[in-house]
Amino acid sequence: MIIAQAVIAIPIVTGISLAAMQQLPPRMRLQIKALGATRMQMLLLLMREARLPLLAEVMAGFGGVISEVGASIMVGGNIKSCSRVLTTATVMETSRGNFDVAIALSLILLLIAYLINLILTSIQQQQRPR
Amino acid sequence: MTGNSAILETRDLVVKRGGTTILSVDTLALSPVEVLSVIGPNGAGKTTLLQVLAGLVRPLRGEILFQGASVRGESNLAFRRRISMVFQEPLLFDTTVFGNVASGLKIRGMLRQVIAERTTRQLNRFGISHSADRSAWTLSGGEAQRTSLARAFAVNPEILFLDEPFASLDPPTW
Repeated sequence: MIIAQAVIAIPIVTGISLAAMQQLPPRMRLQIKALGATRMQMLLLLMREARLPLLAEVMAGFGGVISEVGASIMVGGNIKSCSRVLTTATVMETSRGNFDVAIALSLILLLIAYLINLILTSIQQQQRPR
Repeated sequence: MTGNSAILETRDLVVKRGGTTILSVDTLALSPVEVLSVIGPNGAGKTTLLQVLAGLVRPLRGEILFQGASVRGESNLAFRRRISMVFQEPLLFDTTVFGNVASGLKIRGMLRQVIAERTTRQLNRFGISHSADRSAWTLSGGEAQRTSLARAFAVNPEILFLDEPFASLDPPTW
């Protein structure tokens, strides 16, 4: 199930990562090289320079994965205490007609998603150049 | 000049981009303490020449010798750690002025005390010590370029390549 979620997140994460790296000045790579950096040092420095959009990428990837339900049911099977997650449990409770439980579960899911996005956004805003 | 006394030599350098030859230099030699200015019209390949000489861009053909040894392959990193280059734009990192000036020294894995000492010396030399803790992104064009120059000098390069770095500096600054 983790692999399935990763497969879903990879296109989002890759696309935003590429855009994040491309928004850096084209000569930044040459400047880092001119400072005597190894390939690994260059990669780390470029990632540090693009850390704000990279954090946005983490948020987008997380948003895509936490709200995903189809792959979780197909791959995980929604097995109790094993592969049942909030999204699949919500769908199951809805189909059973337990709307109060389904709403409670979806509120918990929303709360988790909001909290994590709030934390990541706070970090991102603190890092913004002043 | 050519010969064994040259610190940097090139032979038959050719750089092509998109099938077009943008640089072709038969021979070039730099002796220690020599100051060489490259003058030419826009698009003549001055920037490309500096980038090739600094080991940043690989030529299609030709050879670059630093103190008689080729700078290709693994020796390229060792060569790049003995030179420095300042570009037309400052290309500063998203950190403080101090962090920018210290970046080349950190990359070389120097001791924290040595980094602090050398960085402070260059900050004073370029008149930007009062801005040491400021974010590099808040600097004016001239201050940013001075930070870029200080970063290049901090590593004590044996060869310094300057690609029109004084464009943003007003006359009293330099």
